[in-house]
Amino acid sequence: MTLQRSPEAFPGAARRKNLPVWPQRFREGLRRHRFWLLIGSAFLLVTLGILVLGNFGPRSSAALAVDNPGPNGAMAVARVLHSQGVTVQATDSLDATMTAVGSAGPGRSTVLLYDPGSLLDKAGLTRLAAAGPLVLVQPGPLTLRAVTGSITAAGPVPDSSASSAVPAGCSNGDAVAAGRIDAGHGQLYHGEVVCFPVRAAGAGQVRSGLFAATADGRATVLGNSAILSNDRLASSGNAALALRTLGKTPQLVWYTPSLKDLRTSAAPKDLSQLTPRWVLPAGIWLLIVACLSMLFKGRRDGPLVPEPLPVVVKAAETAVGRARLYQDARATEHAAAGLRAGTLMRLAQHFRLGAAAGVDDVLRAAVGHSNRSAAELADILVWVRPTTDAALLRWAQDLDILEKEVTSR
Amino acid sequence: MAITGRFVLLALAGLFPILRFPAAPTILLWLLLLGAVLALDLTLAASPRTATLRREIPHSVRLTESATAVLVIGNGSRRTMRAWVKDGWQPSAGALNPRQSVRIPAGGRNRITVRLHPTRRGELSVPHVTVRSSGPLGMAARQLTIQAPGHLRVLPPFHARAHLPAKLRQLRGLDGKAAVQIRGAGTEFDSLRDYVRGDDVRSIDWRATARRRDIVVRTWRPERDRRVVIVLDTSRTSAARIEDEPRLDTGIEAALLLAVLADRGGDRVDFLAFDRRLRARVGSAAKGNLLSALVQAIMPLQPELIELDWTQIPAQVHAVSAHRSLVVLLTALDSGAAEEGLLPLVATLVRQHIVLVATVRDPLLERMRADRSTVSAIFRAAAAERALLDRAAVTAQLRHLGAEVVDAAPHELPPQLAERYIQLKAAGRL
Repeated sequence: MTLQRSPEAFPGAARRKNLPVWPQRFREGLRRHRFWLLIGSAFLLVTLGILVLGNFGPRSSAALAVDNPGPNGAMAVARVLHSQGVTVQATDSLDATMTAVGSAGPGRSTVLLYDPGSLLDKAGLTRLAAAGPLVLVQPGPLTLRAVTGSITAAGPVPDSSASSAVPAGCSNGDAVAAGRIDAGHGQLYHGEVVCFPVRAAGAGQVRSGLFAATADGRATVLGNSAILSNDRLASSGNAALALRTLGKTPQLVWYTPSLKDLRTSAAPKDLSQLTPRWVLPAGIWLLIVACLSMLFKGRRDGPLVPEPLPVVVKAAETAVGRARLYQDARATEHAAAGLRAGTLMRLAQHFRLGAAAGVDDVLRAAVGHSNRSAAELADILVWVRPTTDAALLRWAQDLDILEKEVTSR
Repeated sequence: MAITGRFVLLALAGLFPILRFPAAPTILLWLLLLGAVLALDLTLAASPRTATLRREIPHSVRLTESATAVLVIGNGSRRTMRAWVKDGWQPSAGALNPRQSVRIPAGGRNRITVRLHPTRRGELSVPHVTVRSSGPLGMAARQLTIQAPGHLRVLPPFHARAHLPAKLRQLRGLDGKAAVQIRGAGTEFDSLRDYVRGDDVRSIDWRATARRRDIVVRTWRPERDRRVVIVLDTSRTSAARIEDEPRLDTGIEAALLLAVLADRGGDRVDFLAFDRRLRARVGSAAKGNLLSALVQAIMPLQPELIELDWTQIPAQVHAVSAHRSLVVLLTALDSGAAEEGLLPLVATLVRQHIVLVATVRDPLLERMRADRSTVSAIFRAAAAERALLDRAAVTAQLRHLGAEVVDAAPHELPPQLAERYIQLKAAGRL
């Protein structure tokens, strides 16, 4: 066997000529993977863009939050107060509130408390009451009792007057300046100073209204939280009442209690405390090992080698295709003609009749080799013209039997 | 770069310290250990860039036979190279052990032997070698694919040579004997010899007998130095597969058997492979062994998806042989428009040559024709019948023109073609 010997290949020698090996290979890699690098960086950019745009500026969707520009937020009133020289500071825990009040100095800040979930407990409320002038927005009865003894809740605004604007009906300066405010779905209170009564008080009845305050002005209650909202601030005298009530001191602490005010000592044990300590580290390690074994098994030893495949077609495909055409076109007569011609030709060859033999010659020769009568043979071989599939099937089988019968004798 | 199973096991062993001291520092420490082992092993591994390669591949091999390709790997570095080497043969080369482990001393060389069992005719190639050189710890390896192209020529199998001894005997039998019975213009006078019982009395040479006392008979031998031109059709119809073999491969088998037989029979053989242009051409006038020249020329032939240019064939035949020859056309009869292509060509050729058309018959058509079980089968039978009738019509027309036709199933075609050649030779028609 003759051998063809290839010349010695020195893969390293060719590369050594070009001095910078690493930058060159890096550039090669960049060029080869350019497509995926581009796709990847575009994806990264889009994701980052969406993240940044989505969180652009402090936004919140909580009700009466000072950074909520939506209809139920209170950004408008905070901005107006700010432009009037009042420092508005939003807090979400009691400690932060106390710190804010303390840093401003005694008597220089008002605290707004909006606590629809009643998250603040009694001790917290007592601490808060000592901090300074307090504006309570639609407080619950328990909150009121903890903060001040003199103001009490008097039930909700009746539905009949929910959409009306209520006149001040008292001599309080702020209320008089406001004139009328929205009743909405607020709460009614009675106390030492009561304004915006929803219905005139009869004899012996205690006056109750949407605005209540203690005589010394340390606690003020706004019965309808909606008058502070961006949506309703501009209607009736809502804005006047809100701004006058909240803008009395240089600083306003806007306190909305959150989950931070809840005592967390009673939280149930979570899964991490119940499982052994080694489970998490071992899981992480197994994950790392799994990744390593993927690298081990997935590393391909060299690029794929292409195999040039030749074209090979099944030869009988053309005949099969033609058969389907016959069937789709219901060309039974055409098919029958083909079968008939084939049988006649083979019979003519079998009887050695020669190329010029006609149908009659074949028939004459066949009669002697079959039990059938001449008429029957002529019927099958010449006259029957099947028009339906069923007839074609029967006739073709008859023809086949006949051919075998005649040629076997 | 690549890591080994041993490295994964080392990583897995890290589970024990982590179970014992379940904390983040344990994980980090073990990761550091793994990284250090990886870096150490990679640094100590011999660089595959220093490897040199040399191939020793057999020049050619017959299909169905196996070959061994040797790859000599040199280590140009100053460290011992422990490497997994993969020889990148294409799949149809049938490499049994392309992936081998090899250890090469510093500055030395070693060889790996890859056994090949090709499954396809043609020029098979191996574009590259991948060397994965692992460090002394066997934890990590540096991998590099080196371009080192090599080629192996896989020749047609020539299964039909099994028929060769019988046909050669038949051919030798023609010498002296057969031609005696057929007196024609095509036989040549060979010699005179004494009469033995059994000789045809008509072959007695009375004049020679008169000069001697014994009865003398003339002997003839079949004519020699006739020309046989084999034209193999490599156009789109040769791509058709019949009984698991493309028509082209059957044609190649038949052409090889006929060429060898005719060459031994003393005739001059020329071979052409043609579709729209000449794909291969071999003549027995060329020096050396005809068979080896033929298989080398036939080796790269593949069916081309273009129509055969019939009009050029007479010129091609004329270029090979200006004299009266036996022109064997290995082609397909069912190529749609025989009236436009094959028939005019044969009509032209028969004016000067003996034309023999050899074609493969599809046994599947016969089976389709006989199946009368369902309506779909009947339609298929009708279509098969129509195809067979068309073939029969073309065959009849060819015979009418004066050409010989050999129409046989794939395995039958080579011996039948050889048989027909011997008959023609015996009849002195060449």
